Amino acid sequence: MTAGPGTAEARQSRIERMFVLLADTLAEDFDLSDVLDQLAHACVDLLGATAAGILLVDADADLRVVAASNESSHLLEVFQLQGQSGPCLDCYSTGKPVEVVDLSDSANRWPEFAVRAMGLGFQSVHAFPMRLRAEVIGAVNLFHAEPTALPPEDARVAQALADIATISVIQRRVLREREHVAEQLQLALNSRIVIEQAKGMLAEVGGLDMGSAFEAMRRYARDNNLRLSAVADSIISRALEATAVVAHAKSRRPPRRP
Amino acid sequence: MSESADDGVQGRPSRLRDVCEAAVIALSADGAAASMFGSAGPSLIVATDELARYLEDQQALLGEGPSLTAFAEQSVLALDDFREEATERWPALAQAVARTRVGRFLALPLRVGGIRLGVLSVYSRAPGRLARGSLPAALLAADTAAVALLDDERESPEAVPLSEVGPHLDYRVHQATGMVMGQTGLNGHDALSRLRARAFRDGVPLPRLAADVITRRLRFDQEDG
Repeated sequence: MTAGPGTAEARQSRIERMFVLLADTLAEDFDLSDVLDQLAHACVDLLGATAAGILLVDADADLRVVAASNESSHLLEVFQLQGQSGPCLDCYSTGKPVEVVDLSDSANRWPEFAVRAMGLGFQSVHAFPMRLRAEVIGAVNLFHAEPTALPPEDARVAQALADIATISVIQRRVLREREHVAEQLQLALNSRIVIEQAKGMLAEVGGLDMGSAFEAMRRYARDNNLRLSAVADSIISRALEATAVVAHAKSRRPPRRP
Repeated sequence: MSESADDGVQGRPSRLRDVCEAAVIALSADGAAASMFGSAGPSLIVATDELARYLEDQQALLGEGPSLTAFAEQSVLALDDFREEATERWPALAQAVARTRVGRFLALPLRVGGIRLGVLSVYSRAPGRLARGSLPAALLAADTAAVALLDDERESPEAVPLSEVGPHLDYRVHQATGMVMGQTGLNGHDALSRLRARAFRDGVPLPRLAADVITRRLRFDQEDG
């Protein structure tokens, strides 16, 4: 049941690398979409989760998916669903972590979510609050394919990743100004919408599914040292040809991960 | 200015107008206006009163001001005292508003992802800082106004149920918007309008129509939309 590939030392060093990377990105003009995407992947890599997602609350107090370790439409849908009724919403409302070791035991607590999640092969769910002092701005979600009780050290890592996600959304320079939190949140959510629009365009032009469309966009951004959200924006404004992004991805298989 | 500006004060019934009026109440302000930004610059769509309308008209005429800056930078601009701050930043505009009773002014970009639609502005006669906790309400008003602005382009906006206008569109709608852009060569604004018009015509909820586009059961390039 213990999460994470490799030894504890190897994991420790990966965590350190993640923090260093984030410290670097936070020090300059970083791309929030990129950081949240990397955080979602870090949750999978470091905690042995099958999938991870990050949800933020919008101005209407609804939770919205802003990043996921896997961009398949089905997975995004389930993340979104549990933001409406599921562990993630409970985590957000209480400000406390929620652990569901085995979804089979919780089927009547969140009937629709449990059925859909188990249908996709997930058996266990964890949610960690993204908290800024008294305010909760979202939650980090882990899905495991097996019934999983997270060891305390893994739970601490997960909470640390949730805290980093919070800081990257809010940005340090505005931490003191309460009003800007709402604006930062809206900015983060809007960036996500741009990414969804660009995914659609790439999917159409390249005959791709949404997950592959996202991969193509990310690969183009990394290989050209561009911000993910800037690439998405250029695709939507047609400053960048969608076909060029698709062609680049096809010339560069297999994908690599940092 | 476009002729639609004449509708502003008379009050053609519209959802956008409702949103502007709601924003005025929610923010304890005195007036609000919404402008759409096209290639030729801003054009006023609706204003709740003469001063709100005058402030937008003057900015469009002079080519400077907080609404234009908010749109260009795609960020919220809050002025504690319009006239005082205009003196430093927009001298021509400062002259134009010197005799008006505008104090606090808030300009919010109206957008749906990468689709940049326009600006919602809200003014108060009294100068001063925006009340603590008011920004989320203002942002919510802007989100709602962005979608209402799309609705107002249709022939019978009053027929759209309020639940459909909600500030947030399902992420499938955003993906489908991108796909329709790819199919038709339309810009994002027109692609989204096409989707909404089709859903309305067919009596289908927008997210379900979007799902049909994503799963490639429905295309927009071989039809009149």
